[in-house]
Amino acid sequence: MALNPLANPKGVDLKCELCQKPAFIQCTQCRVTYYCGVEHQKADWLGIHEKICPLLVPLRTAVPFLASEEERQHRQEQLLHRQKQMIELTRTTGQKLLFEGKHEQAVPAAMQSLRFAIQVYGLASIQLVPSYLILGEASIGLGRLSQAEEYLSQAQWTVLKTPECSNAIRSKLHRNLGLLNAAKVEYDEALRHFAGDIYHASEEFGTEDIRTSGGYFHMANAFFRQNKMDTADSLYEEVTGIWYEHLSRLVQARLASPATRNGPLAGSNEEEEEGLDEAQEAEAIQVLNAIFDMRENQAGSAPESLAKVSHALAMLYYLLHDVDKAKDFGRKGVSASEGVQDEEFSRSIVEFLKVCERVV
Amino acid sequence: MAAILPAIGRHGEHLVSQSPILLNPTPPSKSAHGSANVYVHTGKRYPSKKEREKEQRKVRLRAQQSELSKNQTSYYRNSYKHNMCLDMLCEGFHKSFSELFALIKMQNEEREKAGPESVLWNQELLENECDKLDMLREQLCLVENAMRQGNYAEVYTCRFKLARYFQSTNDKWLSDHFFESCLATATGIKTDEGKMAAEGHCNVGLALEESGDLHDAAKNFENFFALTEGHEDWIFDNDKLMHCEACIHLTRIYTAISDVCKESDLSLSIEFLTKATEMSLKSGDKQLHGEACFRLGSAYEKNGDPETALTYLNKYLEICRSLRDNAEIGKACEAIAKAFEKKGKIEESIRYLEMFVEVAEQSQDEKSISRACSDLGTMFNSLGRYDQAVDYFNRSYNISRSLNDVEAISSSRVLFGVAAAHKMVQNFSQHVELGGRICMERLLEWKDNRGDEFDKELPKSERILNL
Repeated sequence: MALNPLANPKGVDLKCELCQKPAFIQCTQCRVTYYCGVEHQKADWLGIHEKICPLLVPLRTAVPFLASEEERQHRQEQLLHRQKQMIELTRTTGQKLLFEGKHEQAVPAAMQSLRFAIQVYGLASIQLVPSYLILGEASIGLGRLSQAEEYLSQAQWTVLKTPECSNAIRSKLHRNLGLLNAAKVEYDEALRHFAGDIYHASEEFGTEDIRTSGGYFHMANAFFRQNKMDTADSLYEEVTGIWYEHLSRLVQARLASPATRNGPLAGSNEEEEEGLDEAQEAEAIQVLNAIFDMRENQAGSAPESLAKVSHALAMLYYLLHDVDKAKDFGRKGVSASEGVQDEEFSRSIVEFLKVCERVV
Repeated sequence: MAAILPAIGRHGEHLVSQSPILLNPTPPSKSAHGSANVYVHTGKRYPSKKEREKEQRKVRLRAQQSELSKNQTSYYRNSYKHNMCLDMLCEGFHKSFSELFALIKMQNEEREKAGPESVLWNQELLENECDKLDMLREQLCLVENAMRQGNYAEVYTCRFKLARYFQSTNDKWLSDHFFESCLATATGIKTDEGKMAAEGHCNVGLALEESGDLHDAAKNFENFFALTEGHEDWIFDNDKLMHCEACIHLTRIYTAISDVCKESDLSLSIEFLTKATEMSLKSGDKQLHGEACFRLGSAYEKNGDPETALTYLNKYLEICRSLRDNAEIGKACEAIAKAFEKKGKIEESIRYLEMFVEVAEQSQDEKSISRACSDLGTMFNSLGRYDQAVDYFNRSYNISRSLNDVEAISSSRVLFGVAAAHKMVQNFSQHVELGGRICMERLLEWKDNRGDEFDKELPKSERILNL
């Protein structure tokens, strides 16, 4: 719906949701969101507005007159609760879009979450950092490095001013800073940040956790670019090892309880079984495939590394119910493991392959 | 479609002047504004001259200091451990990092588990001890480098060095950890026919022994022994023969185990002592073997099998003789005598005890003489040969007196008294029975002055009178 800024009531200055310039159109559904043009409306719609359109109405309409203090307080609480929910929703959406590689679309969601976070927690709060991080990551993905740096510096400053900030956030911040520096081809600086990422992640989850492995992977990439092959190799090995252990645990868990999963108790069992969430799935696919490609193209690499990464990939696809791909990688693993001395390992691959065959 | 990313500054003034970064990090304040420009922003009051000077001085001083790089600032900001981990990771030593990290975590966990009441709580934490951390970092990085090159011998030496270092600093848990990792490394080395593995087993065994885990220690020593078998020419760095060392360690550990189960299960204890004896024989150390035989013999004797005990004790005696160690010979004689006594062969027993006395006299070992005499005295006493018993007890008593050994004096005094009484009692009762004048006089004399005249021949008249 078209608007004319000159026709706005005095003192009312409607701005575009995305770029804060004067607005010329209005969302016809919620009627509380304004844009400078169709372009931005479309971007916002795809990014986040589609999901939150109806939810915005109660947050943005003017406060009705409430007679009693009690009512006012109640409304205040309700508002706060809604806002917190919105932060949660927008952030998850943004994160998911990032993992899917849709950096462009993640921006509106992140902006929205940042806006709500500022409203709820104020400007200097540590709660703003996740939103900054999403924005930063999206900017890196879009290749807008100076902007990314701006967001990440803001996040870093906030973290620095908050000594009690959790290690998980610190780790994430360092990872993004590392990625930024890697994108700027400043590998030494990037390595320092990845090291920070690994350190904080280890403090939080332990050194052998899949959430720590991301740091190792990025670090390996940085070393790889610096042409320090043996270091990179050893790091890739570590990453593969961590994923391998984790995935085989998950596969074991699934094989142990196949009946209950399909049975009536499937729902109650869900919580006990630790699975991979969407983000982790995306990460696993990306990381393991990258390592696999590298190993396959590397002429002098040891057969056990290739076999291991193939096995890990096979397990991953099995867990994702993609049996064909699982079998494919399983076979690759078997052929690679022929040169390996470790009997037990070869046997485990073959056994796993049999399991895959049975699934069909 | 190109949504322009909104510039960050549009959301409000909170997005920052970078200047506060130059300041020392201050605790988070409620306002996000940097404190440096407060006066300019608020504009409420123009600062006084004094304040301005102060501010200017501050700026001047800061300008004099060189600007710190990000790394340098992080050295001030983070803990020593944090910085070290970062450096290690940056250099690509991630395995060293995870090992170090795991060690620190392990210590913290154990400390938490032990609780604030325990000794562990007040112990200095590894993460605060820079020297040790430096040492760990240096060696672990060397280890990782060597690992990448596949040089396992180097890995072994580095780990071994660490283990020795922590042994010297009394960090047992760390030295244990590294000895174990040494062993793990060494078992992977195939080129030296297992010499390193043998050494590794030996070290782990010693560590376990120290922490009191005797059975596991024994297992390690057994491996050590098995690996050195057939390689009698291997030597340690300190020029000791490895195989021989293995035997000695095994002897010691078996003896220790048998000591533990001595109370509960004597036959098991004997089993271990038998093993110890075998090992001591293989070690070629005569004295060690002799001692093992002695212990085994004693155990058999205690278990009521003097026959077997005797064979081992005789072996012991033989070894002692060949070593010309008088004190040991004495000990052997004593033990053999005891075994014979148990068997009921008193004569044999006495023979060995006399030998014991003889040997002890030769070596001028007063204490042994005293003990031998008292044993002999007891023996004669029980045989009813009171004269000899009194003689020996007397001697034992005198020696203990000259040694001024209070305990020995009192015990030998009692024994001496008992034997003397035994000797006297026959004549005494005879006198009481006869009851003639002379007898009565002698009895009274004894009562008065403790003069012992009962041995004297009685006049014929007295005897006839009463018969």
